[in-house]
Amino acid sequence: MAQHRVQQWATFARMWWLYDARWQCPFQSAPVIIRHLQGLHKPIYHPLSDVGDHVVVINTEHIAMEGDLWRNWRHFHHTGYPGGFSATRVWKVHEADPTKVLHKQIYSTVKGNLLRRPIMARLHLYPDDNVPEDILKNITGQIRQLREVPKRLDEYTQDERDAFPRLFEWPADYVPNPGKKTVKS
Amino acid sequence: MFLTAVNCIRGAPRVGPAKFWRVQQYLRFSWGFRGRKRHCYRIGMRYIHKALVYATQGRQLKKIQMHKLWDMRIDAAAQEHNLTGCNFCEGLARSNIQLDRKVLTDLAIFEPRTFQSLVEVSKRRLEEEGIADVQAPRPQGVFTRGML
Amino acid sequence: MSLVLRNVLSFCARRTALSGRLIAQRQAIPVRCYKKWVLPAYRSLYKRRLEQGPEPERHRSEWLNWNYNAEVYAFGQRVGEDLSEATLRTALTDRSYVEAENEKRKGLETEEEDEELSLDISHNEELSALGEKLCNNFVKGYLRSTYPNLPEEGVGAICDFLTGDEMLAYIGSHLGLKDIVLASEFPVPDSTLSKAFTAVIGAIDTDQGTERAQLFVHDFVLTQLIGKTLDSMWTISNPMGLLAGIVAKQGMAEPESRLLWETGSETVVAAYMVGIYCNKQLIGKAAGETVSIAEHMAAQNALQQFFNFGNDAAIHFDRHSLTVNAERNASIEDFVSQDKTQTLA
Repeated sequence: MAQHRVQQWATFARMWWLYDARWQCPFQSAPVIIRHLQGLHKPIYHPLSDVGDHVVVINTEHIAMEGDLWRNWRHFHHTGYPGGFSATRVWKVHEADPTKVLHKQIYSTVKGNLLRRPIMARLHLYPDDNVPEDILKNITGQIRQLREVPKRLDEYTQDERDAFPRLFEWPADYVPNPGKKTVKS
Repeated sequence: MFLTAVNCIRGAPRVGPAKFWRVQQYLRFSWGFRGRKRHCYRIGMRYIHKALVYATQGRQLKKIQMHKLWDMRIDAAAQEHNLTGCNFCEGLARSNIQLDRKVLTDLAIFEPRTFQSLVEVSKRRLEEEGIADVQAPRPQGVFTRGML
Repeated sequence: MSLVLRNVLSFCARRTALSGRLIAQRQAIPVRCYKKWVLPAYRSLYKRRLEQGPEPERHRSEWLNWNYNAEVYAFGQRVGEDLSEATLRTALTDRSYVEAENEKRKGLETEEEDEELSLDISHNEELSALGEKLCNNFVKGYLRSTYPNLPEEGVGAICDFLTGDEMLAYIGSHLGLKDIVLASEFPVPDSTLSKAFTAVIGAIDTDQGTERAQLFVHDFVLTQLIGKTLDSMWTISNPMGLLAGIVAKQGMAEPESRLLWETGSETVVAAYMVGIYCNKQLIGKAAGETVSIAEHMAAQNALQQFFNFGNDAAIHFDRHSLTVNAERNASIEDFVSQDKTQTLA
């Protein structure tokens, strides 16, 4: 039954996925990553069996947040002592630890049962793309990014910018942003 | 030969006070309990009644939970072929393929190739009906109503 | 004064009476305290239970409602064959039982010296030999006709697996032979059970004819093949060498193994999937804990596909077309080209 043994081995083998968090929303990325961490993407899934995969998330310091959330979204903490409550703006948390925001988002989205600890142990977060060699060797799959990463204007060369089609030419004396109106004296 | 003394005393047919046999039945129910409710009839009977209520509710809950689990598994298997589980089931229903969730789950786990061909059929039907935009190579040898 | 004295006396009298009753009912009065004896007692009981070992298996006949005649009749009906009771009883009687009974009766004293006390029942040796021969021949013939691509060595290995003591005892015990076999020792050893099972086949052969006996073997023995892989029954020491030899004989290119996918290669639970290609065609693939194990398994898988074994469509279990091939299949040397024979070792 050695054939059956190796078939079983392959069925329950843990895959290693790579997820590039550059310009991705942490709130929308978390369910996708958790799906792989819990094994919900496998037909053999069962809530009581530990069949999840590993996910290596890179570029967590380049995550993006919608609107004014960097300033308005807050992480809460309570030390357990009276007056021990504290709330920190997420940009401050992100500045202190670039992997913290995604980690906390994933941790709070996973159901709080006994499997949460092993699930979180299978999550590997890296602030940039410097991943240790031994981790990198394990990776064999990639999770598709939720949003396409747009190219910034300053990343285009001057030739590309000039070659961009235009409907009309601005007049030579046109000022796009007049700035603050000067008060007539 | 009597292996149990009680059969010897009470005789093979059930004679004796009805309460004796009722208590025996209750004790049989409470064999897995812990503490005095395991051996004391008066204490155990209340827990047995509660356990029977739980068992009745559990029979319904089990069906609901299994349904959820099958849905999750079908969704996972269908997403391997770039189709959501919901759309997949819709396509199958419209193709008049009457396989229930349990069978589909079993196929997804033990016969992934069969499941893949079902997904192809479903995709083809969805494409024809214009329900979902599925760009996929068409399976060979599948005849649908529109082709005839 | 006298009143006080009387009161004291009466109190004392009551106390003594009470304490006397207390002594009498000491067992009945609940005492609220930490019972120190409980834990050591339970420990001792637990230890004694462990020392005692598991309960010995008891024969079904030790229970009250045991009826051997009814059981034998029920067995005959269960297997669905029209067997005479005498043949069935013979098939279910082991030689050891007859010998033990005779031994027991020799010790008994009788009033008449010349009276023969020995048990006049026959045992199943002859029927068993008959059934075993039939079973072996039929299994081999059926395998040859079903798997014409399988080498004779493989046919022999599968036949040994199916007609071995262990397998026949397994089938027999699930048919209920364990309780109704008459043997001197209990639990009945596998060899006795398998002998009784082959004797049942022999009994069907005697009473019902060879075809029914073959159908019986077909239904109960051959069906054990379902879900089995070739390597669980036939150990090929060097599957890659054999595969290379076979491929060379067919004039195809050398088989090449390629890594199809791997995961977690730096972890202790790494998994590799190796495929074997021949003329750019995938001829077998398997997973493994290491690359070498995966390659070994993939070669076995390729061989299994080449022998057309394990493909569920290959075995029909169709009762109406029992074809038996008495001719031996080609030997493994015939499959392999001459210059590759040394790779088989």
